[in-house]
Amino acid sequence: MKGKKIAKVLTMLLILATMFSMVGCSKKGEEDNTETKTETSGKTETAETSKEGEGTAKALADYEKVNTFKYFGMGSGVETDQFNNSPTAQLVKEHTGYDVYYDQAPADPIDAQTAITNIFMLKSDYQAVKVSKEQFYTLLEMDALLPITEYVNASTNLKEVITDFGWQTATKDGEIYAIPQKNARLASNTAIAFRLDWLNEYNTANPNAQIPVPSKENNYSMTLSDFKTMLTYFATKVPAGGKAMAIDVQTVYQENILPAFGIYNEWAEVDGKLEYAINQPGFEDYMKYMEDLFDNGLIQYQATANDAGAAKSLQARTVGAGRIPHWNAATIEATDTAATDDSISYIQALVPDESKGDPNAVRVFAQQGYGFYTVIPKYSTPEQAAAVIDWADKKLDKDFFLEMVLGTEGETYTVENGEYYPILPTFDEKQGLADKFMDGIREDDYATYWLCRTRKTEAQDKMFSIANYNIEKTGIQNPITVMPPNTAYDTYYTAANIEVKDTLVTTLFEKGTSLSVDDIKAVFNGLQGEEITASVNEWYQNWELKDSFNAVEPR
Amino acid sequence: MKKMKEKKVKVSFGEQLKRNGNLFIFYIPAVLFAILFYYTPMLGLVMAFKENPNLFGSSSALAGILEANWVGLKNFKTIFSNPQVLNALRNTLIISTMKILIVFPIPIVLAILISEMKGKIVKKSLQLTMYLPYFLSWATIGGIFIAILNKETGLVNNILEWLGHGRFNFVTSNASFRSVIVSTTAWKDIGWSTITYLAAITALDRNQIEAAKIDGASKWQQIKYITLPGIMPVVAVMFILRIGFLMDAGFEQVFVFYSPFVQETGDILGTYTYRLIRQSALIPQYALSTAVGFFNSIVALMLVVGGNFISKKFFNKGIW
Repeated sequence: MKGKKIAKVLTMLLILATMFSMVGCSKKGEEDNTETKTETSGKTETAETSKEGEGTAKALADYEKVNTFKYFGMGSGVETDQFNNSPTAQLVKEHTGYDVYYDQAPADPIDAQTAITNIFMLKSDYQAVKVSKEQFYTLLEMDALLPITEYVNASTNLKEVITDFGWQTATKDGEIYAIPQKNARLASNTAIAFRLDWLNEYNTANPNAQIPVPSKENNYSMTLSDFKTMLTYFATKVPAGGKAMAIDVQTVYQENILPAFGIYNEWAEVDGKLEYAINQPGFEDYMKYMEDLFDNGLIQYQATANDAGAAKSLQARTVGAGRIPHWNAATIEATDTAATDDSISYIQALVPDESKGDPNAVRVFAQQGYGFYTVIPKYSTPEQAAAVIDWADKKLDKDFFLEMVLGTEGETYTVENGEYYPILPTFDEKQGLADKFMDGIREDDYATYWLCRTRKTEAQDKMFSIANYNIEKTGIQNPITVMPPNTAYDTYYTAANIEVKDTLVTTLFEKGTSLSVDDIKAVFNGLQGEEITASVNEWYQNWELKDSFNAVEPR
Repeated sequence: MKKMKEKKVKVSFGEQLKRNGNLFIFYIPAVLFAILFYYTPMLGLVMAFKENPNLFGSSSALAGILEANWVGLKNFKTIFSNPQVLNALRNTLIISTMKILIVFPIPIVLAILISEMKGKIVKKSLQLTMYLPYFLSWATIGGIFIAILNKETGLVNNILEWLGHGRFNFVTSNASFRSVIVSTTAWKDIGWSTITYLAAITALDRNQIEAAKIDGASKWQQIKYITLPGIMPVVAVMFILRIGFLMDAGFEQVFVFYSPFVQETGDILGTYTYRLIRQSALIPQYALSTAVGFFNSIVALMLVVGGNFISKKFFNKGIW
């Protein structure tokens, strides 16, 4: 009997404890609410008054705004505290008058995605978030963003320096939902690094079977056959265990090799229709070429993240060639920012054998488009939204934007013939993080400023110049990069793309497995591939810029 | 007789409460913890029967879940109509069963061997070195083994070649992937797992062994008739608990070693859901993953209950 009583008391205690803990949790929520309320008190009135005065053009200055907010940006590679105390952060604070606390995404892309997911799911206390194009469209689809049209219309710089085309990519049903940030200029980010000293050695030893060295004369190109011959020679030169060429995990679409087969981007126009890489005519030949290289023992494929990739293998000199992005050039060439390594050079793109030496036949994957979008979560208040847009608008003041991105003339950069050159190493130290402070850019000016950033090290400058030599005549863009939200594409494409690439890896880089291009197409179609293609073309066929988007014709 | 004993225990529970009532206060945090972190989250299982909730656009996560439409068993149908999921399910079961069959008995044998060792220093240092791998993360272990097993430069392949065999790609080949997974698990876990059994052996009645020795029992006979039966209850409990994790083939581990080459033999439920659900879209597919989790839990529950039933029947010992 007594035992029962005690049990009852215990149960009561339990219930009480649970209730306390729940109250504890909810109280925190309430406090948060009151905080935001006090922060925004006084503004409710202004919001109402502003509605009355609608019709007359309103400037951002007329809006009630908070003076502090939290920003979630891209990973910068430095500690959050260090980032917040950086000279650029102070500069932005002084100029705009806003006290912004910057937080940053983790470096790993999947962790970064989770972090952004959590912000929107938990309604975390961030008023501005910088996201990728794919993330932006997903958030838009899920109705998680605040429309910012009225603030953008009230801005001074934003409307002016970002093109209508840019705003179009951030618009849904007539409302703008983000500040689009354009990639600086048409550029190719990758090239095939190779051992120039070994190629020269080969040429000396084989006077009757010369391989023309990639140079300005041939627009830094090489034919498919010469490339294979070169790799075959490299295979005899690499140390034990090394291979002629390294290929990074999952990079089955080699941007600098595919153009030789008439595939000019992941999505490109074929007979007036946009087609995914594997559905473009030359893909079967590309598969055969890569399989042949692998079967001849010329390729070291990075199967897991723990294996060495192209940059690491080139740095260790265990391979003779490999595709790398230009920001890795310094890693493989020299630790000294002012030095380069003459034994390394780069190929912009491979060409078919019949185009040997023809600089006009070179084509390469290139991109411009809009890469990042600064969005305001739906749960933000109008005062916070107005503040974020006003802050972004002020950062685009002409003189200030130059100072924010490149620093002070004579101290961090110099100007020669209208071109900007960094003063090293001061530029790297002081302006290294500057691109993380941009939300939208002065699209015309930044194209020139950005080149200064690619000159951060001599090696990067060398590689970027080769990869982008005559890029306005060789670079072909992927129209998808500027496609507005597209439900089928946004929902299915990434998954289908991953599976197709995984399947390609097994057939290209494994002995004994050989799938036909039709098998690969079947994988794509099994994951809504046809639906994606149809949906993409529905947009493409009616796109007014369809014919003017790519200035460079296919070969 | 048995019934009487049970009754006695039941009566004494009340008595115990009366006598040691304040000791039960220590019980409260554990119960609270279980309610808050195990039972309350179970309400989230409703997601398995609903459309994927819009947790971003809704006013709160809870509202997002409640507002989603009911779809019945659609999520389960989606999962089980996909051949890749079935392949992943098969691999999960195979890898997990291999781990149990091969890895589970080793620590028992090891514990008995260690307990029979004479030299104290050797014994202690051996134990310590065996525990060490347990504290390494799978990412580290993956790095070590992928380097050792590398086809071109790895130590194992160098030795194979020296012995006159061909080089072999262990990590990226369907023929050997599961063996790599099972043997790395063994390398990492067996040392640590011996602790439980060593403790059980230490707790055995020394008098029995002494008596057996006097009666002239050999070492083997001592182990067979005293040590093994003595630790059998612990072995049974550990076995039942292990079976509960059958559906968990070790995501973290497989993920480190995984590459598209081994999809056929190495793609487990964890890596599959990670790849297609998490990596491929910003919107995590909560409904689908809850359905997978729900299915996992039901299978695990059945296995534990079944394992306990068998254990009771054969060893007269269970976990409840």
